[in-house]
Amino acid sequence: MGEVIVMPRLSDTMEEGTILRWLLAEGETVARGQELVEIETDKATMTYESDQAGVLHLIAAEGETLPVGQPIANVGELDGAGTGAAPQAESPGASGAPAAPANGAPAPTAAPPGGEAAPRDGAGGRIKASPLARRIAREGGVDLGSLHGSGPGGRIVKADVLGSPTAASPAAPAALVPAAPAPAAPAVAASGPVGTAPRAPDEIARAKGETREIELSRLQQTVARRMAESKATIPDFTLQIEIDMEDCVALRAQLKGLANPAEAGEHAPAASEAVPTYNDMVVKAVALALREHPLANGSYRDGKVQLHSRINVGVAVAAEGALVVPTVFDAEEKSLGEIARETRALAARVRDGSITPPELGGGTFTVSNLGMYGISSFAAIINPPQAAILSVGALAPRAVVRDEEIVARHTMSLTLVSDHRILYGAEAARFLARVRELLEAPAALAL
Amino acid sequence: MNGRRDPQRAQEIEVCQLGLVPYGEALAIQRELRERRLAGEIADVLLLLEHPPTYTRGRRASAAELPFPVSFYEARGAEVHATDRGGRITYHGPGQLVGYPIMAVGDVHLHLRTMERAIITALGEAGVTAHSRHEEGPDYTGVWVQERKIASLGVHVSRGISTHGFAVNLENDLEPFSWVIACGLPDVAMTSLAAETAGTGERLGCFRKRMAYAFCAAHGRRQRLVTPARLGIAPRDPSRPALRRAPQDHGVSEPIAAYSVAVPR
Repeated sequence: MGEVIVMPRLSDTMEEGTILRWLLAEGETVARGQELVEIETDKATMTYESDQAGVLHLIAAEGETLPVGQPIANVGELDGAGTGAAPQAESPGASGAPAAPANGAPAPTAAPPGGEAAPRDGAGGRIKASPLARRIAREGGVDLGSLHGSGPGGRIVKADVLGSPTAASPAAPAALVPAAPAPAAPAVAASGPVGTAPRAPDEIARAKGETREIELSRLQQTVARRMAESKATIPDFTLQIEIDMEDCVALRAQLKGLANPAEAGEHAPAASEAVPTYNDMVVKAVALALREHPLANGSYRDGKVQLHSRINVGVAVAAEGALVVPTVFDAEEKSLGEIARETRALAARVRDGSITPPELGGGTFTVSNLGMYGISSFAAIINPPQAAILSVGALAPRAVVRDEEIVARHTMSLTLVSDHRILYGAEAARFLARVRELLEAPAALAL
Repeated sequence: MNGRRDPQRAQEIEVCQLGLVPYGEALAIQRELRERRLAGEIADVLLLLEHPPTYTRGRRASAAELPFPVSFYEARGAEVHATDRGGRITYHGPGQLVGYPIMAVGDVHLHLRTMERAIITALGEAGVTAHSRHEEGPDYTGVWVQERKIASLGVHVSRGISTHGFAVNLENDLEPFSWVIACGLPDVAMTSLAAETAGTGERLGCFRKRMAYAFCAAHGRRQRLVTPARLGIAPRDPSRPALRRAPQDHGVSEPIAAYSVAVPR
């Protein structure tokens, strides 16, 4: 029978790898522990040792980049041994279905601890373990056979090895220890409470009708990871403020008149392109206020607050199936018109996919706007490691009290979500109040 | 000895200054140390050194990244080497601090991120605010000062032991970077500690100490300074003049020139 070798997970954060070089050729016999293939991930090349023995049949070619868990080779006892026969939970087999680990599930360590003993391959007595676990075990002098696997199909994962008493020896690489998650302990301590999942999930799944899985693109995976990281790690708080936008409305009408003296209205796109939107005004006001409130322009990294000399305002843009944040660099030095032209050009490049990573990075603050959908206010998720994000609601005439009378005024809600490790309540409030001041007397924006 | 090291020593990283070493020799030293590390004969080691002008091409370097014939670079006194590290093409030269950690690596990305963090810390202490851009993709691995690249990374891991590592531009000539497409990024601007501080910054000899400390601290470990002899690296040709003397510790005085591996394979 054939065994499938899949693209190994060489790092907790590895999502895909490139086959650089096969160290053995098609049809050669590979021994267990023999270096088989050289893989590149990020700026690291790594030789991967076969955990199986037999005749090698290559699936992936040199230069191919594949997600973790995709088959890269078969190892069979005989020539022409079945390729799709492998019943392993980790191998996607011939069905073409995407391998579970490739979906960006945060490493097998998250699997619930099961009590089953590490399964062995009937023929060779091979213990199922992740390459990372194997490596740590070897480094720490841990016998894999003595461990119970908590990964899929009873596979031994990093947490199982780190949780084993022998792994506590100082020979284990120190850098790995802090990453050891707490759930590792029960997996080793007891083969006791076996949480074998009953059939219930299947029935529930059926109740939802047909289920279709959508692969996330690299960009979507990144967004997913960063948003989860943000929500899980940032102690955030939310401040909301109402802005009287009457003067901004008047300013925009004036700018529109300047750009298009014929007063042809909204139908002349060439002219209306140059007229700054209310969002552009918010970006400009935010940039000016950030200059006076450097903490709001800071980042939180490794237990320290970093202050940045440049004010680069990211403008969240909904793109094809993802959210990206192109950056207006040095926004406080740019005129309203420049900001308007730049954000429009950046948004267009996001939508046609021609935007480059430098234009997406480097932001020190983010503005997100859902006002065009009529959303009156919302609280966006902080884009780490930034200090805060400003959410812009819909501009509309609303009943407000002015000089003790109810009048209709154009108002807009701004919501600031801040990282309390950087910005405290009063400082965030002062920053937000300054943004309001600038928008309610917008002469400074037009300079 | 059953191969298990003294627990006290396992918490230490042995830091060894090699001075100026030709690239090929440094490669041989690394390979030898990797075998010895694998056999458990030595602890984790960080080699700190400089190279004479050398271009090195990673596994994925394409031909277009070296826009001129090799003879062009050789005529300018630089060697060109193909290597097994990750990453694309880069340049090494005197005044650039090169660090090669020969150590047990469990998680390769963590290894890269830890190196970035250590370099950022060391640069920060030397007055230069730098940051990582790995979120922008693998091509942005390294350390940056705003959009300028100050340090490059590239590693190789075999049987769980790393070779190659990092290179921080300190007081080296940056022009040779412009003769290739460094790191595979056509428009990348390179910078150095000297360029960022208008020449008032730390020199290599001083920064090297910071770097060693920051590297070990980033791993949560202590450094132990060791001589090349202690690692079994002996001067290959003592008659060659020392271009830059490595600091001596433990009172052991040695002529530092070019190194080769003392133990024949």
